[in-house]
Amino acid sequence: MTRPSPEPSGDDPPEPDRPDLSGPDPAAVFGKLFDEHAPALHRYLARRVGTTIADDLVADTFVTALDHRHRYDPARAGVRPWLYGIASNLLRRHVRDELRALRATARLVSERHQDGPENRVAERLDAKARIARLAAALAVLSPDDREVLLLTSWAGLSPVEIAQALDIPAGTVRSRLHRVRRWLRASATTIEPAPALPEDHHG
Amino acid sequence: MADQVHPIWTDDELDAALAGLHNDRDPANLTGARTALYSALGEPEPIMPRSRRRWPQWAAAAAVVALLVAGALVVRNGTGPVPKASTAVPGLQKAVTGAQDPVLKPGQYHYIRVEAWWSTTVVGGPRTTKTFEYLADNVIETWVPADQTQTWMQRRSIVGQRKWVIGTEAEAEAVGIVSGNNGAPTQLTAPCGDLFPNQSGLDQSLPQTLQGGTPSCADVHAGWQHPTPAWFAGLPTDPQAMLARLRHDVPGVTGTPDDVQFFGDVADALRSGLVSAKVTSVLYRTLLLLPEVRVTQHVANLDGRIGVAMGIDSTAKPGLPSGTYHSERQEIIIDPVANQFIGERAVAPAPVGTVSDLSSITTSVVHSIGSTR
Repeated sequence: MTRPSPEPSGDDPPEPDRPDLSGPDPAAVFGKLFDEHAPALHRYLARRVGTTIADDLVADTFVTALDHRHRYDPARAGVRPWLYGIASNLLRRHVRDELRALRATARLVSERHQDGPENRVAERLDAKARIARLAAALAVLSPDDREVLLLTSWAGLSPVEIAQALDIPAGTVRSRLHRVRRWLRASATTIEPAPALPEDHHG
Repeated sequence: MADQVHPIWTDDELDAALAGLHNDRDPANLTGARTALYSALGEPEPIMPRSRRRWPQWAAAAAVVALLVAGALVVRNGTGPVPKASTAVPGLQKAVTGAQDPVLKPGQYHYIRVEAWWSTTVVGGPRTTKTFEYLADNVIETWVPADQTQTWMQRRSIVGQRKWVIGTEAEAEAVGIVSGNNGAPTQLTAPCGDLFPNQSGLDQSLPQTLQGGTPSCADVHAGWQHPTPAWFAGLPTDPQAMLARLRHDVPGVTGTPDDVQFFGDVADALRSGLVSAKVTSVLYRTLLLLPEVRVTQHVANLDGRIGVAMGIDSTAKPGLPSGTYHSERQEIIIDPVANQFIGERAVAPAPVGTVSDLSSITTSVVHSIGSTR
């Protein structure tokens, strides 16, 4: 990864994806940051934990970013990975919500396909069934593996950006991603949706 | 790990499933998050340039801000709202029954002049990340022919100096946010009043093209935002039936109480300057059926004419804490003596009674297109 020197060089304005968050006018900087990143961040979070929780998580992400703005180092990370890193931390409190949503999606389609083994072939051809299978498989991934996969696939972050977001080496991101994808390709067809947990039915 | 009996997905199949999973979530409502951020900033929240379906299309780029420093428009309303009840506002009752319609001879025109202070918020630009807000004095003049299938004309201009709420003229000019002057007036002409032929939806911003005109009036989409004589003729004459019509015409939008939308649609129609006295009367009485509508006495329009305001408070929006700068009371102002719709204003709740938008509307009959008297 070649970047121009991160050292501030006098007259040059900051790079657009690496703004100076510690300046004297946080309202202008954070207002712009919100308008640029909140919609996509919300889409990503809503896919993971649903719209309602995503509403709160977006608010918490930006308020946390504001509170910790002096810790943001433009030389170290782009602002987008930094925001997604904050969101990932906040998301950890909602693992149960995410698993509940994945299991619900897995059951939603699999229940339509309980006629018998002869339907299995058709099921594999059915995009919705494939999505259900994937949901069931994602529910058994470790939270760290799921994080790397979905930051890549849903948030569109590169391995370098994910490394910045999660504060892990980029090589770890790449190898984890490779391993997770290989496992999903092989296993998603065999994972059965987990039975509903008691809490899945209320709340 | 993988069982050889089972087929293995390709990368494309995995990606397709990933792309399809949970991609049907409800759209974001970011207003709460935005409010939380500005609350943490300790700053009043600027309201983004948004497409206000309550405004006609030429005003869609205008946005409301709470006016904290632009002194000229800061008006305090000392009387406060009074309880809604048509019996408690005799002036309004008169307005409901007394107005007369101008009768146009062939070749004559309705001349409708709207003057409005609207604010614009610009968040960043090609050479800046700063936020700018300013108010500008918009004048919109419309000439409507006696035979409305003939050519209409609309002239839009911005007059006078901008009033800066955030930033200065010099700063904004230096980074290309505004140019040095207000520019020449924009003039549109089109038969059937179809001045914005490319605007099919209500939530569009300014028109892509400023050439008017579809060949047939039948192509013009009539409605609350573009009332036509035939459309007026099809409206109910009973307030309850009118309310049902509004409910039918305004599909609910998440987060906005229907009543606020109904009120906005009625304001849109009144702002055309073409509503007959009879229909106006029904509309006023319809608005009084809405439980959230409040009547305020002694309200001045932009020209200083005093009237009675009927308003609805958008603080009722679910999910928005009251007292934030999102909220405003949208009001139409009626002169109960002359029996006319004379303007609109928007009132922010904090500081109490701060007027953020203010307008006036006058109508007259003229003998040629482009003449003002």
